[in-house]
Amino acid sequence: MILSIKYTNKIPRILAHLTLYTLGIFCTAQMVQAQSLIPGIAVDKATKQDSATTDQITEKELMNVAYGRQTKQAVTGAISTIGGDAMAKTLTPTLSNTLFGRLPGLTVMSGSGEPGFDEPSMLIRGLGTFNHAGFLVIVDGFEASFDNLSVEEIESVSVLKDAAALALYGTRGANGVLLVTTKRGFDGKTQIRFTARTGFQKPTRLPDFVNSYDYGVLYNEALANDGLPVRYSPSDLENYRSGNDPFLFPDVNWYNEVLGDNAPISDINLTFSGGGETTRYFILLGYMQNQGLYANTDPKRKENSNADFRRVNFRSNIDVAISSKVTASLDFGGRIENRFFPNVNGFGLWENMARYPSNAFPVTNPDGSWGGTSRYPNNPVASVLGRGYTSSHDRNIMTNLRLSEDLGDLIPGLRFSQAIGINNWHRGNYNRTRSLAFYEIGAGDSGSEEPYLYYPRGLDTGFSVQEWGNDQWNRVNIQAALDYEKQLGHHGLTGMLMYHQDVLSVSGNNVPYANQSLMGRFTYNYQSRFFAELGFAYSGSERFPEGHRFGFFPSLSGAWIVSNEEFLKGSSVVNFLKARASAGILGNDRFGGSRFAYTQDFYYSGEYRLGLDNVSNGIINYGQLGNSEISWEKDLKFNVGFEATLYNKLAVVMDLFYNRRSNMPVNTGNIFPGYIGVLPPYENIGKVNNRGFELDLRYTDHIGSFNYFVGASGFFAKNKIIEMGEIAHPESYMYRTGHAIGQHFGWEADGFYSPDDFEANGELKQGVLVSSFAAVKPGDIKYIDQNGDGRIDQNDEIAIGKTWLPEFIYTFNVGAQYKGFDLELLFYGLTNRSINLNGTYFWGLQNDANLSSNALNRWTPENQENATFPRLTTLANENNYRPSTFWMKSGNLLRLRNIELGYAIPEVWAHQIKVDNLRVFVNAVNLLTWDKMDMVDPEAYGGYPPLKSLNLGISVQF
Amino acid sequence: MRLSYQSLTGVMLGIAILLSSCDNEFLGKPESNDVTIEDIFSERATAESFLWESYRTSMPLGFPIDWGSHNGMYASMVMAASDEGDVYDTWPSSNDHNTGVWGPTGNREDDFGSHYKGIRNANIFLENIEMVPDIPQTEKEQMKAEAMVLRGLQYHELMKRYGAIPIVDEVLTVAGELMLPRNTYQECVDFIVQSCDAAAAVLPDTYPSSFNGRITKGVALALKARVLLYAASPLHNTTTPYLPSNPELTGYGNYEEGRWMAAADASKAVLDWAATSGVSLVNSSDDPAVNYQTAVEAQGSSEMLLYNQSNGWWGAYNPMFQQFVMPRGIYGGWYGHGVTYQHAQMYHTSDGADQEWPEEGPRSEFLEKMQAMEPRFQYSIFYSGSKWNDEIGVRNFYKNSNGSWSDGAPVNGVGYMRKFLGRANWGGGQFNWIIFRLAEFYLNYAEALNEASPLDADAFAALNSIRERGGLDPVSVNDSRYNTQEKLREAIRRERAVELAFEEHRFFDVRRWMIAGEEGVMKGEMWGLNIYQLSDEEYVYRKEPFETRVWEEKMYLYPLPQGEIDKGYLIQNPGW
Repeated sequence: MILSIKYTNKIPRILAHLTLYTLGIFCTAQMVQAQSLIPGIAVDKATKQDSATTDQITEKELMNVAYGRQTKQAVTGAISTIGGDAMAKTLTPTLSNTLFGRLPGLTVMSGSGEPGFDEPSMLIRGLGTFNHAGFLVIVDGFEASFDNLSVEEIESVSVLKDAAALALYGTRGANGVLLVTTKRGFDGKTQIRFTARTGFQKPTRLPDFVNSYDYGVLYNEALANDGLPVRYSPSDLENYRSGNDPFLFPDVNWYNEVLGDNAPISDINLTFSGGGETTRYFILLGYMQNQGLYANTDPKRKENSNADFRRVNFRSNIDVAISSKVTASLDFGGRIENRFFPNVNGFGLWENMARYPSNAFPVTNPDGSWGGTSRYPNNPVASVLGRGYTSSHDRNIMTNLRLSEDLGDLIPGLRFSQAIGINNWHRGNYNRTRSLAFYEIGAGDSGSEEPYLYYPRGLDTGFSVQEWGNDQWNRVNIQAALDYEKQLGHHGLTGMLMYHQDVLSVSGNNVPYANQSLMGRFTYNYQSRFFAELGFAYSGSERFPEGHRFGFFPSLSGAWIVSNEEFLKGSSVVNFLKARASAGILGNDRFGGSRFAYTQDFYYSGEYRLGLDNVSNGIINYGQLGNSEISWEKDLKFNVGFEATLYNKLAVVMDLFYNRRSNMPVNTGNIFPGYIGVLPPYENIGKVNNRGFELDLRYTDHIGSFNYFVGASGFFAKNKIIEMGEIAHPESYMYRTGHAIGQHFGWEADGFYSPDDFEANGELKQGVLVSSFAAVKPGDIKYIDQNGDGRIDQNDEIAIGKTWLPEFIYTFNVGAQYKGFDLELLFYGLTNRSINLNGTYFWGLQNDANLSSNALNRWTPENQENATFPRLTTLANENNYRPSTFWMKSGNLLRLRNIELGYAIPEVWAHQIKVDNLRVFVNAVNLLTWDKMDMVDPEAYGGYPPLKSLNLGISVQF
Repeated sequence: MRLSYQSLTGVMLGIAILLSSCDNEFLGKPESNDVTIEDIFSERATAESFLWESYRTSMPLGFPIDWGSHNGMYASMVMAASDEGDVYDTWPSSNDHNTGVWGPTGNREDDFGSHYKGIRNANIFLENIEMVPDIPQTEKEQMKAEAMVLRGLQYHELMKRYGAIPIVDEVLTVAGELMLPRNTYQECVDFIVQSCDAAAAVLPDTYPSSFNGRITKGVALALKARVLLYAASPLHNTTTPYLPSNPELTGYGNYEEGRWMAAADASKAVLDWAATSGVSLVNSSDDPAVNYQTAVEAQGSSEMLLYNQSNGWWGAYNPMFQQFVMPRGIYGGWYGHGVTYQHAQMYHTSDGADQEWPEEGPRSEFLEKMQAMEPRFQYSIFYSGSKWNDEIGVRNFYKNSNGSWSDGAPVNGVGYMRKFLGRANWGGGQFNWIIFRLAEFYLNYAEALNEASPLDADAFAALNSIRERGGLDPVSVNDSRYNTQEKLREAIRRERAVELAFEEHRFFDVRRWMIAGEEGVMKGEMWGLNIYQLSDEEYVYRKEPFETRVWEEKMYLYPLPQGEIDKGYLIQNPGW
């Protein structure tokens, strides 16, 4: 620990001395490519590449690695990269949504499609932990979100996967890193580029519920099954069928009433880039607008508002050579985000649309008032149109300053760099909301003149305005590094030593989040044939007690460029072949529970009252027991990989990995008895193994002027819990340990109880399995008695199906280009995945819910054999409605994620209209999906659904 | 050019040093947050805070006040899971019990670990109070006695539900020996009794009025008396337990009449102590209903031994007590707690007779028969056509001819529970949960004495104290309705059901008496009196069942949570 404290003070001092020493010493020296910090002024300008040749990378090309760049052949780690132009094929406000199927090793799963809140969930190499599985996102060297950047400012996104690639991230690297790099200027004529895209979004799928008449008939059937009197008389049903009285006998499809046909989305970007010998720049101004699906909303956003997201992006990345030895970069990246939503929105609104039966009440009553009932109080249309809106207004600016100087006069090959990154975010909120009165409609008294009676429910309040704006954070990063590069004959050496600190201050929290690291990377190569690399981080996290804060995380890796060997040099078959391997240890300092799990908190809070006057007496309270030796998760990572280019046409990348996560903090509440009377502490006992592979193939060729490529990739990851502090189970098959994280558990369905299983008095016959969950009736789901004790209970729960997360993800990618026309298709598929259906969409009539069309083929005495739904019931049914193989569906799917057709006008025409390049294109996202789910999107359901879109665009370059 | 670069670098380094240096604690947690046990027990003020925290976590509370399952039961009171009452809505957890869908994996009446939080607090207090320099030794002894009784209270709450439990009398850490199997039932009883005896020797009879509500000597005696009454009862004091396995966990495994005598003596000790300590049945008004209401509701009534007043003033919406308990539509109530016909029949008419209800009759008859009921009935039960208070006035709730309910309904039973709620309004109220009041010990004494010494005159005297305060005439062995031990036992039980209604006694009494399995108690049809509107002017009442309840023998004691069983430390109760 002493060491860690000391270097905090010493390192900057040493660096200061070094800098002072070199001041005033100027010689001309050849500029070396900085290995760290300085983004490196792009050597060749980022010309628009044809989609057919995007991924043709030469060995000498530079790749982004952790805090620096290396030539492609020198990279010893597993890294996948995508360029900004491929991401532009998905028109979305949130950049993570452009990564579906694009980066082998990166799992991306759809979330909600709600504008401004449509981030997918992402994982690198599957799940390696049952604690926090989120990974670091680094934008231009500093931790930051990239979702709300404009796609036009993205140079590339890389996913760092193995120990070699991640070594420098130490205690925060175990879950992988996403490295985002923004565009920079170049030496050449100024390029002005204008792009505009616009399109329409629709839900990929909406659930389907029965109409009023069917609902009435089936509700009566359910009541009869329950032995209760029917609710709807034959004349009621006739009224529903005829639709004569839409007020007393309504038939409302809430989706049709609340939603419009589609939601518009568009973005416009203008960029300037270029520069000269000493100054280079990239400047962007962008605007994005995305609306929601809600119909009839106020376009002025006064009375109510559609879901609405508008964003302005701006960026200015400037590189300056201050002297022949000193370069500086100053980057400003900012954005303004304004989000509006109906006061009632998101999951609750969508749940109501699904849950309210079509006969519940009319949208509006004959007198124009809002309909509703005490049982179904939140009229979904009124929720959107009548209750005002909420809005949030975000401002973000990220400023990075870097300086890099050549210390070649001191020691040839030495370079010193330093950087400071300041990232500021603020959110203000403005809500204008109100409550609404609604009226339950009833038939008027017979003989009265009034055909309807209105029963007032709810309270009409005027609009009230809430405003607040102290939601903000500020992040300050400081980095300093020394780089060294030396070539001695056949031996190439590089070294890098770096200090990093990060302080995140969040408003409302007086203890900033902090972390600190000293990192290094040393490489050696022999004749550019053998490469070896040692990377390490000595990194510390605030979450651990003094003396346990810092850990050392080394990794070793090597590569062999087989194609540089004599026997392959000049081969026409094998143009490039590299084999590489890495091993190392990374950490993960994030897990649930108290931020400072090493200590038990005692705090003065609350009161107990005594005396005849109820005098308040302060009390002292305490939290979970602390563990003074709590530590981070350790991940031992192994990786072997091959990269090859064959016949100059086929590019192959393959990686195999095996990760052993250990020392995982586990909440020991499942281990220690409840009678200790306090939450027991976290202890480092968890273990998870995770293994898999990635394979990426790409074949590029041409037939005359017809260029084309065919790509395919597959990515597999499967984890296994070795130890998780699991509670003891009476049956061995009940253990989660030994299965994958998130393995579905439930009961194994075995058809339905049949009328033959029951005596005449309704009692189960002797020998028929008894369910401990509910008194069963014919048409209820039967389960298999796993432990053979003659009854179905909690102890018959087994692992069923797979996990929600897919084990295997694959993609197909084809593209072609012919005379100005270009076409690209990307399919991606998820396999080895299971979905356990539950809740409002699937469990008809439970909790007064609606009935979806999946219940139509229900069990009835006439439909016993082929039924796909148990008998209907209006009552809670613990037997039928629980996780089981009955409700388990395959989650496999194949999507046409992207399709884009473009046309670039011939150069001759372009020059006539004084542009360098003009391209128009049309593309679609999520156009087609093949899967086993009928009613809802297989990737996400509940709340705002995932979307598909059809878009048009144009890009012009001057 | 040279200059600018030098200064730029310098500035940058300056910032770097500024931000990173002079901070040995860069990753450290500010010290202000850290309080230790030693700090707490370094002075009186903070040590007392810890005692109040022990009170907060150890004092039982039968009112549901939030979404937890420890106070009352989830969104309802325990009375709704016994033959006293019902909640119409199906989601509050009283319904889990009534329909029999509760067990080791889900019992929303209790939270096993919460009891031990109170016990842990008491143990922490007991182990550390000696460290405090500025509290005199005699006061320390008294505070320790308070902690011992608080701990005992939680053990009693556990034993009512689970039978024998592990006794933890030290502060457990995860590093120490944690294997504490369940003690025997007898050991648990003895532990509480010893704690109470030791505490009673040092506790004061009263506190200054600003500390009213702390544990007195009377509370120690009361806890002992109730624990011994439970211990003497048929559920535990028997050679033939309700289920044969692990008899040492469910009771004594044998029958001893002496246990009843010990229970009677302990109750007598409470009554004797009360007589000399200014604690007495509330009897100041001429109106028995007022006396009863005062005894139940009034802050500092002469009858109170211990009540939980932890929250002070309760608003109408926070905590959620009024939403969960007030009748539908009154002062924020969501569904109210109905009172069953079975429970209503426990009450007498004002002249001490049983009320007879035909299957059906006009509303006028309904009101007439209701109004003929004894004063405690009028206070405790809010029926259709009765007045809540001057602000709310008279409420009528009934069923329409098509079976739908009018405003202020639905409710299952003969009406709503009103007991405890007389002081509620839109601004909330002060609601004290009764833990011990003196009336209980007259009934405990009568019950125990009649078992040890059948038809003892003192048993009649104790019973009559309660009857007379309630506005009923005294009874005697000369009355043929009370002239055998069995008849007197029934009378005492019936009186107990009335006097202690809804106070979380009946739910456990029917278990310890082992009558829960009888039809109409915890099992079978539950009944109500529903008023129907036949036309604008015509209303009738009908006696109707509203639900059929499920009971199994194993339910005499709760199962320990499966989560605890699975950890491998504890043995499950029989049948589960």
